[in-house]
Amino acid sequence: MLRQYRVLLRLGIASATQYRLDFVLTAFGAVCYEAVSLAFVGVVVSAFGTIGGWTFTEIAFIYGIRTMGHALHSAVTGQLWATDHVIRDGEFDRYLLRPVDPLVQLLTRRFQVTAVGDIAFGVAVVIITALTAPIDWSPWKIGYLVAAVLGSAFAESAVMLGIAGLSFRLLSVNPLLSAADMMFVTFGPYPLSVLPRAVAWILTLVIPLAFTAYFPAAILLGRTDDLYVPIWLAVASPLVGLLLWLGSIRFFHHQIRHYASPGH
Amino acid sequence: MAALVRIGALTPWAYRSSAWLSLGLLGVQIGLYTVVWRAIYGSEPTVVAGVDVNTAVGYAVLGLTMASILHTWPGASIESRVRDGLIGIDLTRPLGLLGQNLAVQTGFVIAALPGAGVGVVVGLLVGGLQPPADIEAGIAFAVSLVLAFAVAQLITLLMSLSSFWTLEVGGLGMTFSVVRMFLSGAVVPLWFMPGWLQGVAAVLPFQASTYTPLAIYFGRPPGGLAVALLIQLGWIAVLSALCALVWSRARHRVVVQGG
Repeated sequence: MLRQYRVLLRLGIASATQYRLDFVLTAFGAVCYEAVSLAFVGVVVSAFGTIGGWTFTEIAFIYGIRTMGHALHSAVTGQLWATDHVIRDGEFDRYLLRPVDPLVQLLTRRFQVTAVGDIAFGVAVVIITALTAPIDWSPWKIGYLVAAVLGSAFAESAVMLGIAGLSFRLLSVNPLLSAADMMFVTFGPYPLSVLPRAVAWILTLVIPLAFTAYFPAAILLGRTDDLYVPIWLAVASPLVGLLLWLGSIRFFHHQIRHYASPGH
Repeated sequence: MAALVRIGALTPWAYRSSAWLSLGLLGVQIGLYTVVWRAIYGSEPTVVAGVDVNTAVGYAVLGLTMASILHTWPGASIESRVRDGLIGIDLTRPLGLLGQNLAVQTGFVIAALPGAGVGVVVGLLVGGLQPPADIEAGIAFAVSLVLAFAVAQLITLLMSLSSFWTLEVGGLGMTFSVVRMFLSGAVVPLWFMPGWLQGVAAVLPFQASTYTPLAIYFGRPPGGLAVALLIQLGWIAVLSALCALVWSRARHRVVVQGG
């Protein structure tokens, strides 16, 4: 499955870079979209000093983990936004006829143009915010940061794939995807301990946003007092992300049997 | 021209579920930002940049609602006509193209008006509706809002004209959309921004398309009421001239290419 993915990915890159100017502009545009939420935090902190006792460098670190995780998620599974279209137009029929996993075909149907900008930005942000954060870095901690970023990508992917899987039955899930994306972008950089506890729980149990950045960041920053879950659970965030992701892939495959071709 | 406005008003609603869900997303967004602002302010009554939490939340409700109605997407009409070659017909009517597009954009704004209803309902639910600072502020707000509408549509029109060069508004459109959202004060009231950023926002037209009426509403017109309104009028003049200039260049470009 991995080799199929690589081959299809290379084809996608070749076709997308033909439109070079739009490629660059779209990459830049995607970066701007992600950067706005950090700019928002920056402005707020410059006006308010701290947010709930968290300084800008600490909040930026949460943001860094989530941004890099999002970049990875988008690069690998970004095409799931086209699920509605693929199912409604019958493109999915072709996937079923080929000896390649339909989900892999869906995810590699086009090169994710925003991926390059997202990843470049994500790498820059996570490195810079990690260096400026009040953390004593050690090899273990760096390893955990990598795990946290991967876990973040898995968790966000899991949510989005889960929603995309509903497309077989609902046929129109893009608004749901947009709503979920909006939650991630808006609340991603926040230390969730600052929000009303009910909201924080929703962002932990209903949408696993807390696992994507806040918990691992709090662990690395040593701010375990700000956790509202047992420490072991916060530490296990990357694992939670991975498990959710594996579950969502199974869910997606399971939903395929609800596919009713439009017959084009 | 009225026919074009009608087309603009009906087109977004042709995709009915998509239109309804945009309204839903607006509601969700208002709710999210209300939670965020209240968390930022914390539990004690504080005043930052001369503003308390109720004003900040009220601004978010009104600002997000206004942005959803006024911030039209630049790719909507010129772009596709350039690509499909239909632009040739438009070229036979000199100033007509600009007027046509403004008409269609006005239609889009009308189509988005139900957003006001969403803003009011959700605003009530989250306890975020704020009355204007006083009666004069309310009246001045109405005047400023009309000017802001004009500024916003001229900005969108200018962006649309870029499709004569890039063929697709696409990537540039995303950047534009984000910059506009931020510097227009729709996401963060400009009064919270550091001095240098306010300076940047002040020399750009985005502020006049959203922030100015909002600030007037809450009793803090940037530079004073007269200055604020004059600046809006100024931008209308400047943007109109720019659109006419860019359009004349664009026409020349199409002719040269033998299109």
